[in-house]
Amino acid sequence: MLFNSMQFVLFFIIVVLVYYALPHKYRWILLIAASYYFYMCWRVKYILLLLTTTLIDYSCAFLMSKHEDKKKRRPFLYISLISNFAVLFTFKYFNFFTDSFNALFGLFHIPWQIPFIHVLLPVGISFYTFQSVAYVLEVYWGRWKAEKRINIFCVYTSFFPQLVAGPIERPYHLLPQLDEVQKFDADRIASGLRLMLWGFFKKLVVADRLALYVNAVYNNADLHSGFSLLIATYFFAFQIYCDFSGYTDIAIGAARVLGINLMRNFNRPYFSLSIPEFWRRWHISLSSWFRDYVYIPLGGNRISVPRMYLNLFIVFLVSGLWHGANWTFVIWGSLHGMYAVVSKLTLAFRDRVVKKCKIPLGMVKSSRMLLTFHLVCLSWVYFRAETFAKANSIVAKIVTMDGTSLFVPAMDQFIYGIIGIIILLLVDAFQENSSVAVKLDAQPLVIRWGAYVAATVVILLIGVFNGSQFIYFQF
Amino acid sequence: MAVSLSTFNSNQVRRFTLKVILFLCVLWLADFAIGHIIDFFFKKTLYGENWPKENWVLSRQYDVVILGSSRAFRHYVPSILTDKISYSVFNAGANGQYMLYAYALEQLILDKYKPKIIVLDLLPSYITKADGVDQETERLSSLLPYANNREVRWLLTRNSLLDRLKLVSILYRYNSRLLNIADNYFNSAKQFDNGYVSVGKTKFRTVNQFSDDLLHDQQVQFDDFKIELLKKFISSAKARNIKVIMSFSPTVEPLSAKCRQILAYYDRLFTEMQVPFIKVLTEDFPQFTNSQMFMDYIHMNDLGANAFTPIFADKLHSLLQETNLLGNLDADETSAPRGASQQAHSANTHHRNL
Repeated sequence: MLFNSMQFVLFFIIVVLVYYALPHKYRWILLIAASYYFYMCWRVKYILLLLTTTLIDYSCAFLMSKHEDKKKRRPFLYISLISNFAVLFTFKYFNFFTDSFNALFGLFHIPWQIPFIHVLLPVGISFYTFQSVAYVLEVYWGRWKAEKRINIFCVYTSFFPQLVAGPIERPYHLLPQLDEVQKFDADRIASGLRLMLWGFFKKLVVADRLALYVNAVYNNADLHSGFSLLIATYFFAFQIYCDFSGYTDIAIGAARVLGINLMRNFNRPYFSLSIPEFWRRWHISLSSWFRDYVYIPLGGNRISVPRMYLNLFIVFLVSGLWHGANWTFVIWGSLHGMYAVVSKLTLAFRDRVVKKCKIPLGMVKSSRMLLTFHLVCLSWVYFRAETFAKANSIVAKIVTMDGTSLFVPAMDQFIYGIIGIIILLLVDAFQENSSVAVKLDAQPLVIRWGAYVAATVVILLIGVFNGSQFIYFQF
Repeated sequence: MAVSLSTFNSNQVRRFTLKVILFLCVLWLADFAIGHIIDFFFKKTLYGENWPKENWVLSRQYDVVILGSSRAFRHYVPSILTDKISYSVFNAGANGQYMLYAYALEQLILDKYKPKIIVLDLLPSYITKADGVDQETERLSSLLPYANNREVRWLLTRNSLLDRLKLVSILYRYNSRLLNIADNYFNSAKQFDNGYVSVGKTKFRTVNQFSDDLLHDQQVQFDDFKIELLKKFISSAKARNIKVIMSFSPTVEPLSAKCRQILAYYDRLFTEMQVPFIKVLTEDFPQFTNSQMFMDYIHMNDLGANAFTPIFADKLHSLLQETNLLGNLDADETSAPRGASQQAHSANTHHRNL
């Protein structure tokens, strides 16, 4: 069941009505039933994977809580981590590594071929696995008490708004909210619905519209000019941003309607002045997960400088692999790792140059923003292309401007896409220094409703209603 | 733990529910008002770039309407047919559209007026299951502005009852059409011959994604729904005393065994339903093996269309004469007034000369 489907709209209305009709102590039943139904709409039997992860992590954390000594806790941590990552590896990475090893064997004329397994990737597996691992690690470090009630833990691992594509929650943020009595709050519900509307706008008007152009160009990259590929790459940058942040807005909005505040996942990333800042603004719940559960345990900033940079690079590399079982994602992660290391290494030097040359601040900021955006766009080529070789050929075509003709299959569709980007940038630019929500709340009802009606009209008129998947569902 | 059972009776809930209902009313009003303004301009767009052919064929009264896919669109030159049979002819063939669209458009036409003859140019895929995802229903979205028609609405929403909810919105019916409508409204200079747009002597390309149906051997999987629709297409025209004629135009290469199997099925079906079937196959007309007449394996260019249409016109004329249909049609009092047909014909002849 996709957020951008009529099924979800109907499902959500029913859940909200029943949720507020139920006494608080019974709401967990509704949330589990709704979440499991939501997940089973993709593939019924994969609910077993979610249940297995939930049961193992609940048991391991529960058993860990019985021991004060970390050494005695450790076996349960290992059981949990091994089982979580074994499932993730089997379903997501087995065929990727098999393919890579088989290619390697072929290179050295070794007559071995590891057979592939034929399974479909369970939707959202990387998201709920990481959320569950976060819980186990917090309990292991003693920073969070193990949840005794399995029903509440089930809601934590399966809460439907964020089950399949995040935000990846932390136990200390989500679990206490599940205990709170969520009273009917009209303002909060209105605010949640408004966020959902904005999410739908991003997904239907911007992401899915741009996807038509991006797919047409990237799926036949050999036939297109360097200029068309450059435009398609810019479009993809906005497509993936609106696709994922649109999903996140709908998720956060839906949870807010139910009285649950999910963590922020995007903060206008294309206004970043550097790559490290980009990662503080893009997929915040994942980058902070890697920071909290990989980078800091590896030593964080408390170790030697070379080791710190190596760890930073490793974190980005793993983050790339998290996204998908393909070398293109590894390259994408490595590029960001390299950007981050170079950015940190040259920061002091760059600041000295700016001071010495007395370059106006506005110029420094805009050039940094442009450079960051283009570095990110370069990495998006590897993210979007099917293979490493294709990505290289696209980059080569763009850099050498191989052909300047612009592919425009339908001018009106192209214009709709650009209108969507302009509206998005205007709203995001406004949000940098202010808040649309606060401004809107201060307006009279006529203006507020006018804005909501206008947004709905734009969605109905230029949105794309082909029910396309969200890109991050595949991860 | 506190119990929130009472929240549904609180004033806050009641006020909120009222507000939601009021907002939905405002939204509906906006949808209705803006939707009707767009609808007004849409109905006035009769030509232009990507003009809605449906508007044209529905706003005039034609004696002969040719329905079908891009092959129909590219192969039948109405002026040649008009010269031969002296009836006003409109080519309503549409790119990427098959049985569902043909049936829907037929129903829309029958709602407006009664042509004398309806020709359906066939493809094997009209009655077979799609190899991958069936995109026919999705492609029907071009008919969303006509969703008030019962049959069109049924076809648009048959896969999901929830799709009916979308049709509550008038704006949704004009989704992604706004700039197109504006462009058509202000820029009407489009040269076309009653639905046929010349592509000139476009050179032959070897690539065609649709060629599989016609030229490649694959397992035939008949689609019962589409077969029923084809039968309904025939019977609803017959019920109004309209002559239905099926047609099959040439391809540059010999047909596949799969295609022949489907043609044999068509033969049986049309014999059973007493529907004439005009086949102009390349094996009988070897001139069509000349690839200069084709844009690709299955679509003719202007040269091909101008070679094919006279052959089809001759066959149609003979058929009408043999079955004494020409006379019957002329004498048919229930058909559209001759004046209206002539009006449509002369209007389009004028347009053709633009």
